[in-house]
Amino acid sequence: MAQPTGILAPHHAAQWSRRDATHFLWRTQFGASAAEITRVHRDGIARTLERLLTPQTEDDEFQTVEPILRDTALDTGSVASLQTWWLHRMFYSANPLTERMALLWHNHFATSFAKVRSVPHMLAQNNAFRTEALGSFRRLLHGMSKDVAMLIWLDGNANRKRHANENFAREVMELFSLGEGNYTEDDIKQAARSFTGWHVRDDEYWFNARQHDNTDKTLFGKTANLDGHDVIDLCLAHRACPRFIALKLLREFVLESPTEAHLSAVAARIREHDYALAPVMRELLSSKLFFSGAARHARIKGPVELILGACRALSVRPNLQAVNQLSGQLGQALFEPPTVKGWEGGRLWITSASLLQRNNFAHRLLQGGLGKLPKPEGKPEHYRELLLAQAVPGLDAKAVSTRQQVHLMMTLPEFQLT
Amino acid sequence: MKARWMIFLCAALFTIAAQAAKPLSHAMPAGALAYAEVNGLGKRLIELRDSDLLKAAMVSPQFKELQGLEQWTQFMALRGVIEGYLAMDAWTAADKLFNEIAVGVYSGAGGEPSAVVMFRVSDTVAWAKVRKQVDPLITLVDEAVKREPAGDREILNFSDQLFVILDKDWALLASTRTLLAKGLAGLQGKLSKSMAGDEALQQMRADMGGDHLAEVCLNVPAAAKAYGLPLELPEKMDNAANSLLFHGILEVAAGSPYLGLTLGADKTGFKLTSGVSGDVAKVREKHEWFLSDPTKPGTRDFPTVPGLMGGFTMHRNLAEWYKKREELLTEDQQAGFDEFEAALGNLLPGQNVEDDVMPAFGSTFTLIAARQTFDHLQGEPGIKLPGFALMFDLEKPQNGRLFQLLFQTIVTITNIVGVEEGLDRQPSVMTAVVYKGVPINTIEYLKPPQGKQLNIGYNFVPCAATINGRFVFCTSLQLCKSLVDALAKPQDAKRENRNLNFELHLSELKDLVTVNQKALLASRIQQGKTATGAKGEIQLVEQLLDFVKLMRLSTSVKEKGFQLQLEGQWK
Repeated sequence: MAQPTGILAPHHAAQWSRRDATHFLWRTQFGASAAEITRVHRDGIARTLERLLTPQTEDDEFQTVEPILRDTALDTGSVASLQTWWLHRMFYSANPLTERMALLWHNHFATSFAKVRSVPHMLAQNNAFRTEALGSFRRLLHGMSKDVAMLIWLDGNANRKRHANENFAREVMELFSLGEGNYTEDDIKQAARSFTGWHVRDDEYWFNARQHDNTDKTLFGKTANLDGHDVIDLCLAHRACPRFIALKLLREFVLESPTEAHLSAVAARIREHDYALAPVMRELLSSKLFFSGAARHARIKGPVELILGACRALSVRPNLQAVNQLSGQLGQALFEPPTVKGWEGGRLWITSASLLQRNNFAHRLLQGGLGKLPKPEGKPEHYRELLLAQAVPGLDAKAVSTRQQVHLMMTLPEFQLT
Repeated sequence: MKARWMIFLCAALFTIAAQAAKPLSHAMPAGALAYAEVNGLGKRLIELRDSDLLKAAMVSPQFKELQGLEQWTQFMALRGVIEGYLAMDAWTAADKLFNEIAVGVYSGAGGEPSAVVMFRVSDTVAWAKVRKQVDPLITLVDEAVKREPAGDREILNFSDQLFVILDKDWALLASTRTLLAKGLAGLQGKLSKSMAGDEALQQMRADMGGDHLAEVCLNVPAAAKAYGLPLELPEKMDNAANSLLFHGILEVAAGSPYLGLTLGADKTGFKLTSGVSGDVAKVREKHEWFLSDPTKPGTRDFPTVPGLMGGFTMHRNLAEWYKKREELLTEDQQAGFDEFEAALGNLLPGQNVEDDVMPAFGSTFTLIAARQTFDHLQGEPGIKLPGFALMFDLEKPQNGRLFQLLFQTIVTITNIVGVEEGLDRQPSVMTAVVYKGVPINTIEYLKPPQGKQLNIGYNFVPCAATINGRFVFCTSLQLCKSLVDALAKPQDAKRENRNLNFELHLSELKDLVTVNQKALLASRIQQGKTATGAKGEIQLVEQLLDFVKLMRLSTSVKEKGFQLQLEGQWK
């Protein structure tokens, strides 16, 4: 298999610095502690990527706590319990990149508890994101077409052969695989007919053969008695699909406004790897592009990333109930994306109200309001590395105590970026 | 001659002994706005020190966490210094030195409160050692403390703010010279008017008994006068819930000469009682709906159902209260009643709340919680809640139909809302079962849910029945059947007179904690605890629940007042 070249060529190992390690960790997990930065800096990019892309055994505490939180979410049927279960995974899992990828797919296949109203279904979908987080986008897309939460969310049971419901077919093309402008309204109609009879019964996927349209459909120039799987395969084969997934990966991990060259390069690698995600991520996260100046401090942190990241950086063991509430207030309630498009993110994370709330969060965190805060010790440079990963001129002169320095850093525009 | 001397000696010894045995209220100057007295504290503290309860608490993770705090280290260092000076540990010091304590608070010049504190020691030898240890300290801070001779004693004057006399078997502290002089006279048995003769305190002791570990008496009229506080209640209350819960109490309290508080404790438990005195018969003219007849038991006892965890019951004549709402409550509260009537009108069409609904209620309401099983499911909820039952007397047995209508309407609405909202719950159909001749309306699920982690909502199976003149809303068919058995038994005519009663049976609560341990652990972990820390906390809760058999908060209407009691019974 051809190795990536150009902007996706590997970053020079000789140039590997602590600042690179910090940048890498803020993008591949939820924040970084000083110890983690040291470890990644010591291990180097290749060894670190190998660890992140290979399933790691969770520690004993995680293995004890995770089922307790999961079972409680199921027992209570409460979305808040489910949210804290996932926040726990994000913060404590030994596989943080998997959790970040799961968050990406949750936003990509945005499904909300507000309509599904079932913790077991939302949990099952989330686990599917995790299973294929670094697996195969091909399998993931096929899986989502039969996912119970998705079928409830997009009214699968209303999709009948005499009255095809276009919800799922439209989203498969617009939001899940191709993006707007790469299909026609007739394509949606043909695809919707192909998905007829893909229903839910007794809380499971059920192929309702009597409601499936068994006549020929024509999609992207192919005419046959297509079913849903055929539609998904045709979408995956469409030239727009790798570009669309490249756009999602670049926005999540590299920079918010990728250029045509960036998209083409990553899409080519996705095609090359036939939608296998681990090799694509390996190349992307070790690329010159990823470590380029254009990619540094080029993304606005999402609420979950902001809150958990700050807790990790300051060694706070967070109150996950409080984190969950705060994240919702800042516009990112897990399992409850606002629309089928998910959270649009980027600059939309920041409004005059949310910026004030983000600053209030900093104050609250430093007051111990989200969990016991170890007494800030060490030099300001230490916190600058953890929180900003860059130098900010004049910062040292503005505050007297270390705590004030940290507070000041967390209220800087630079802290909102990663 | 020898016999005469013997008689004289015995009489003298008796006089001294009698003086020494008198409670400190005989030494405390009269006129205190508030008076507190503690007797036998040391013995109770020693019992606490030796108790399994304290031992369990001291090995708990919370205690270990506390020990890690800087403040704890500072506290222990200070304790070490004090214990060093006292030449005994704190528990022993409490036992030997602070067995009898009295505090009086007076209205001083310019409204500033002044106070007298006196304590009588039980071990004069230990006390002598302490005084000897403390003396050099006083010398060290000589500039701030003046030593003033007062006969064969010495007054320690702390900047004219505090005056202290340390005697052979007592200590006296006062914030003014006048109070010091009176306190000294009291301790010498030379005081003409002491708190022992205080009318409010005497009445409190007559109403609430005089033999307690601790007692506090607030002279309400004197305190109100001293601080210019109004004693009259506003004619109408501005909060309906407060009226329902407190109106009668406040009316009695407003005319009370005292507000009393007593604490009793022994090896079987403790009892904290608060009381006020007043003309209950007169207050009942307006608040009979609130104050039950003092000559009869107010509320009913809790029905003896298996696995009773606790309950709440109160005497309130809702129909009377509702009828008098314009007389009892301010105008701004009335709009809420209109909204309530409109909402209830949707559930009980054609019924007038004041004329049809409220008069249907009798004057006792009871809510209980008891262990339940889940035989009606093919599985069980992941979180297991107790069954709940709300019971109330029916003014007439036929009124039960009105509440059956309400029950059926609510169940139907719940079904529709459940489907509309896509709730993770099976639809149900209404059905009825007859148990020992009593028809019970309840529901059955269309398909009995299966699995060991059923949604929390499956803890609730609504039931309704009229049982022996009482209407019962219940969340468990099993509990409803138990109530049929329990309510068939006659009430104990000699039961305690209680206007309100709230009880917790802690061994059953412990079982509830145990079966729901996972959810409780999750809650603590979600709040940032480690698994080990959370487990330790829950174990501590279980241990604590193991020590206590019953907790009860109750009120009772007496002919001359009203009392509130908090009781705990140890296992």
